[in-house]
Amino acid sequence: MRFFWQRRKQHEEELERELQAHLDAEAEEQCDAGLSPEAARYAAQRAFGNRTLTKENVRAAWGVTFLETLGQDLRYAFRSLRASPVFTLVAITSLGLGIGANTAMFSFVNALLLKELPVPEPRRLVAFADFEDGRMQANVFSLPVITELDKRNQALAGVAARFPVNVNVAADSRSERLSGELVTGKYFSTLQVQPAIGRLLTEDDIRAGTGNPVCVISYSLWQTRFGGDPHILTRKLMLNAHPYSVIGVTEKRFFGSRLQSRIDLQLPVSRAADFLHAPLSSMWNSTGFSWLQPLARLKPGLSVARAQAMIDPVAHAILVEFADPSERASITGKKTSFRLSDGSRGLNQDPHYASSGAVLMGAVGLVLLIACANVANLLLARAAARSKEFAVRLSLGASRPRIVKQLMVESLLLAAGGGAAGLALAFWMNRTLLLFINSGQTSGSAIQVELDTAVISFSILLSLLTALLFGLAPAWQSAKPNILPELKGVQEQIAGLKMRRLLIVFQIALSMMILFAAGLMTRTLAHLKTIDLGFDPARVITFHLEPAMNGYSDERSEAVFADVLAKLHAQPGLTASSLAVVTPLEGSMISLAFEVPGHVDTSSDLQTNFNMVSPDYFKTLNQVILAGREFDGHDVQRAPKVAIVNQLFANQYFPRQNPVGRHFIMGKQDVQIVGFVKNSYYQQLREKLCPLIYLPIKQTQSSNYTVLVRTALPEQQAIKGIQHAVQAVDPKLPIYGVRVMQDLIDDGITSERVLTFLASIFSGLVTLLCCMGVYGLIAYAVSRRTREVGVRFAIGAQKRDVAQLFLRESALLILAGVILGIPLALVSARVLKSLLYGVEPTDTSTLFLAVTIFLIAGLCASILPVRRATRIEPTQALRYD
Amino acid sequence: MGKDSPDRIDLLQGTLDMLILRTLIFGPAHGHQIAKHIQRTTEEMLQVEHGSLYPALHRLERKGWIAAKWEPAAKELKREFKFYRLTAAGKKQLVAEESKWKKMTAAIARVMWPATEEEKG
Repeated sequence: MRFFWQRRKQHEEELERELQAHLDAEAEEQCDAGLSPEAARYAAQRAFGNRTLTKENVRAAWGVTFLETLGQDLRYAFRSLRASPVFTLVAITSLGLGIGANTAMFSFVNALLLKELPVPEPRRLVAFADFEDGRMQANVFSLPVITELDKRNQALAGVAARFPVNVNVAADSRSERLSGELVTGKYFSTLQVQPAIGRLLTEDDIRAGTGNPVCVISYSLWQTRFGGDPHILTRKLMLNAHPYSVIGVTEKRFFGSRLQSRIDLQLPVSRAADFLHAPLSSMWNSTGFSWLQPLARLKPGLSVARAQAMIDPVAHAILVEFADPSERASITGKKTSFRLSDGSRGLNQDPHYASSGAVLMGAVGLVLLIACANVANLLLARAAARSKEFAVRLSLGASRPRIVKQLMVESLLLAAGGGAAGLALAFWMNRTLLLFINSGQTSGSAIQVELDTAVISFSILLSLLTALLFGLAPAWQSAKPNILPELKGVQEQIAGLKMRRLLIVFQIALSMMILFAAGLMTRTLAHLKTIDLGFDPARVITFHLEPAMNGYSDERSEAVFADVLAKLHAQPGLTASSLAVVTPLEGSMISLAFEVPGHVDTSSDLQTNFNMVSPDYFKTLNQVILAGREFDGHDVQRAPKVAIVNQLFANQYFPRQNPVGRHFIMGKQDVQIVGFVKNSYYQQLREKLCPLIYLPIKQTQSSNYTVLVRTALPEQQAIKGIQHAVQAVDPKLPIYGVRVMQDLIDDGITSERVLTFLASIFSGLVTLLCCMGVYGLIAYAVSRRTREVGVRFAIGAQKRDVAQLFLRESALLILAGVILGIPLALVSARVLKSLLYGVEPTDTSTLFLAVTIFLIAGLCASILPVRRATRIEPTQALRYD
Repeated sequence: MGKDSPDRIDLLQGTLDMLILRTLIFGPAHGHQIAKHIQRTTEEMLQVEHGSLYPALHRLERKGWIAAKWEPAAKELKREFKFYRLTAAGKKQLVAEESKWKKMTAAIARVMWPATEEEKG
């Protein structure tokens, strides 16, 4: 296809040829009639008449196409935007901010809530769960159930399952902890993943699994950890201290069956013993161990409903067959089946992100609306300045739609600029936000946020929409056929002015919502950060070791921990170190039952939160011991059972007494309380403080500890010391999850921190936009009323009176916006309720602060134009125009 | 938006369109031939303005009533002319224009010479 300007050029050439041929023919005829060739040519030209006029008329007959005028409009719009660079810059910046914020948020929503697994036909993937009479019983299954379902059903092309495990990977004398998954034989064939090199796991590998251990690694692991080694398929990796052959590498785009995390290794489910703790490790193939997450693929052309109908009888039969004999009778009569659900997004657990995602999408939507209002305002101001131009064009015969079209092209050009700026901003924002969210975390769990086609189409669509939103009304307004007064120079554009005032009020009202929300979030964060934790997290570093994963038995494991603690003690600069089963504020918890002799309680069994800690735990955390002692080296398995309790426990069970020396019963054993400590936060910052019992680790059964270290050294130096100490015990033992405790606590409030950060940025932005709007409007008012001000000065008005005149206008605008904004802010803040802490969504002092900020900002914005008004020289003003 | 051609067609131009279509009944012709043909047939009574002939040709082409093709003139092969040819749509249009023209001349005649018209009728 040729473009219209090329066609146009060809037409021109042909017309020239055609006319020339006519002239030649005419000249020839004159020649035949006896004229000299020269004279004949002149005669022909005379006979023809005005050639240029003829051409003009022919061109008119061609008419003008839509595309041609579009080309003209584009050129014209480009020139006129370049002619006012400040306007263009401000408009594109406002739009860029609005579109960029929206694009960034959308790319997160896309990554977390919309994206599908990068496999062929992801829509045909389904997950399923066991439902009994409409209630979900389980969403994990035993291997025999998965195998049976795969064998018996007619609706699914393949049924696969997986279980996530952490794996210590040692190769090239380096070891690290990576995410892996145990998978069934149909895993790769169901997902339809292809190998980049080698081959992927099949049923045969599962059957042979107990003999020759094999694994599949991810493309990114191959590239980053092994530098794309071409001989990777001949190498052996030590996985949890067992040798494994790499049989293949998955294709580049595949990174596991969950979108929100990256899986680097796939292992045959039959090798479970190497990756799970006893006794689960020996039960991987038993019917009594439901543990695998299922994923299946529908046969081509089957709808979910149709497949469900086909699966129901099979599932029921399997459930009955595999049920515990005691329950079999009761299940038989019930309506049980595997209910299929969408698996196109893999095995993701979404709703967690949905609420703050919705809040943020709402907020950035507001920012974009405000930016549009701002640009519409600028366009109206520009239209007012160009009103004479439009009047001339209308009087020369341009139609109103023609002018609207031309102005819309200008708006589209602005929106395109804003869209491009927005994409660049989104790219930057995504990276910053990811860093912010993953603060200090290793790469393994990073979510994939990128500007893919979905995101880019979103921002293009958004740009088009904004062009309509901010451009249409001003364009229609300025193309009003209102020729006569304009040409005469009467500058009254009341309708346009009204629209501009409305836009400012609307802008301020919307901005109030964001500013108020930002205020509430800032207070929330401040409250969360100044909570008295009951201990001091500063200068504490935590990390994990799992000697059992490197082949140590439980007893040897204990010895490893003891050795590590001893080495840590010997390191200079590490002031205290200890072990704990529950790391405070990391999100985990242990709840156990106990009895207090003589305590009468209405509830039948008492249950409270526990932590198992080593000696020096309270010293490490600087947690105040109010009475009694810490655990020490004597509190071992054979010694009398002891415990330490917190204030709330003491108050509840031994009110107004010293709990030290008192007893309670746990698991039929008597436990004596030897210490009494200050209350502290346990699972997360937003909890209500609770009664807490600490037990010495030597008197409990567990082998999985966090190591806590208090240090006087700078962070990096301390971490080096820790690595040194651990390597001295066993150089093959990977240290993972090394975190500064403050970061750990910050992680617990990530969504609050992100919301506060973004809300603060947005509120700064929208306040700035509002100020620009107010400034523009007041500046316009001043220029419009220059003559009037001149007259006022001439008849004796003071500067103060003139200033008052314009300040009143600006104050009225801001007040109207604020008054409209207050109810909006109060209503919209309700959605934040679940995110707030220590502040109500109706907090008046925050609201008052938001109102004050707007009044001050608005008045500041009007000061410059008002000053200009007070400096108007009456003589000049009256000569004006 | 540029004014479309129909707005500018006055009576004379409409007539010119019809004359062009009628001329092309005899076979394809280029602009110069069409102009000469009309002049000769009307014994130079009608001078075809080139300023209106070519716009008319292009307008008719755009409407699809005539089609154009670059071809060498019959006698000499070296020079090419843009030959216009009547299309099926153009023939229909010619019939329509003719009957419209007849009605109009009849109507005008009735106003101008009422008596003679009646005798003839």
